[in-house]
Amino acid sequence: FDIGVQHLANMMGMDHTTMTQEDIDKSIEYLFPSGLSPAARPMMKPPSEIYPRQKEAEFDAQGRPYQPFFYTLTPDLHMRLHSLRDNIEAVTVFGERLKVQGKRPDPEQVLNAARLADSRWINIEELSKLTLEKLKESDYNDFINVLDRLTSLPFSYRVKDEIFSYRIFEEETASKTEAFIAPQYDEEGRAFVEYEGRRKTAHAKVRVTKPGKGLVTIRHKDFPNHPQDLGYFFGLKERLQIMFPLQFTKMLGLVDLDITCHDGGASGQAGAVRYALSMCLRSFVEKSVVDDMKIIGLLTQDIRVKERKQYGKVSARKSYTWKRR
Amino acid sequence: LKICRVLLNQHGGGNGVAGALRMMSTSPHAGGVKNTTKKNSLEDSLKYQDYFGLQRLFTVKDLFDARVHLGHKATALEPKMTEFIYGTRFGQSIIDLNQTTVLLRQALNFAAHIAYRNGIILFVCRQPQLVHMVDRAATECKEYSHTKAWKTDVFTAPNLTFGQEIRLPDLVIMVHTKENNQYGDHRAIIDAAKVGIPTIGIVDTDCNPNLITYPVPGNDDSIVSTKLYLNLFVKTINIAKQQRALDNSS
Repeated sequence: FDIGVQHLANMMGMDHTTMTQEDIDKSIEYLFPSGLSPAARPMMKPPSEIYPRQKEAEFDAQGRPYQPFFYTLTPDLHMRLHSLRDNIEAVTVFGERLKVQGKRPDPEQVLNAARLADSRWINIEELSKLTLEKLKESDYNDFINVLDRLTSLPFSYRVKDEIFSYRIFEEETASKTEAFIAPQYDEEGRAFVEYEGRRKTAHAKVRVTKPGKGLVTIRHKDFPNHPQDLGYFFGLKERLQIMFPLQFTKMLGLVDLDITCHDGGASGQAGAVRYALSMCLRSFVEKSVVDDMKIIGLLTQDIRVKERKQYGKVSARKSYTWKRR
Repeated sequence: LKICRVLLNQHGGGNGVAGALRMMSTSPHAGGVKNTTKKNSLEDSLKYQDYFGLQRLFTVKDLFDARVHLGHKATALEPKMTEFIYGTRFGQSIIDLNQTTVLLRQALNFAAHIAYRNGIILFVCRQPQLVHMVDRAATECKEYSHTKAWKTDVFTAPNLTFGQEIRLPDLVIMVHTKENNQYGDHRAIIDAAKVGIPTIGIVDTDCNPNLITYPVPGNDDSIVSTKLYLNLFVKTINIAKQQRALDNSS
């Protein structure tokens, strides 16, 4: 790889000592223009990124294993466990010594729940990858028990590097959809958000415009020139469904709605509108209100659809009349 | 499995262990024998009763101070251990330290000879309070340890468990011969006997010494006594390795 980098640098007129991986990637892209998908394009990466880590030689020429816990079948894990146990002993002894002197652990450094709040213990797959060994549930549980025992000691912060090497920091698990849709601006400078909702074959495209008076325009996709207000929906049930998100977020007279529906029936379209409307309102409302909307269920898409008919039955579930003879 | 005892008895015609040892020549002084050359040092080492000078490592008083003589309750006495018992005191069995010293010296001598010949020594223990000490002792003398749940296949089907040809241990040392529930014997005793691996085991008054090659009667429940045993084993193995280095260089 190093020799290859030198040749590449020579070709591109760069200095191989100062070449970064980014420079290499750009050079390869320049030299091998390709219309293939990114995964199929040629790449030049250091061997550690391409070849998976393998276990090193396990014993010497005389047959003596290199690792002292070779016969346990998980020597690497046991070595780490041994190191943790050594630390438990060391930290306990240190704590007792300081206790005799009357000194207490530094409260700012102690590894309490607050310090450990934004991370979690390594899980069994990650630990397996780290040790390159197949681990059993019991091995893993023992390991975590020892880690917990070590962390619970008052002076465990003395070995926090080793403890944190087994902790994984997870970023706030951002949901696949964004927390809110960024609003766009129309000719008059008013902010608006669009969302397409679905319920049970019904589709509804809803546009919410923020500085508004409470105007509601609903039309069917097949009749774009015949807009209606809330009267598009005959039933009170459907009308209440649509008004509920506005009522809940206290946006009743503050936004304008422009809705286009197609497919489905009245109730389905009402449900689609309700969902799309809730998703749009996220952009105009506080985070706490959004969380409340989530709890109430306004932001959960209702995926229930009509179940298909099964053969041998009248419909999806209903069976034919059972006759004794 | 008394192969090793037979080897020791070869040099003597007397009955029993003590007679055999009396027939051999006395031990060389510490620091190695000057006359051995690389070629015949392995043979020569067997000509001496105490080639590594291990007698000096402990005395009966050391054993007493480490509470090695304290056994379990007299009611929990294993019948096969009666020959090693000195008596009872307040319902507690007292182990005969005279026998312990002889048997422990034999065991240490054997371990030293194994280490001298570059043998693999495996420390096995399943007692939770002793596990860390045993692991540390093994790492200190650069040998091996197994303090997890025992799988029979490790000894009896090694190719299957390890997926490759491996060298099994040449000696198994057990500082506590029971499983972690205190009632059953550690499976390694039977498996080592099946595969022909000699074992050294510290047997307490409630343990079965039958399948162990070098049973050493002694207390296995005190931390102090276990520390003593591990200390002795580590020292002997290190002495033996030093002696090997010395003999190979001369």
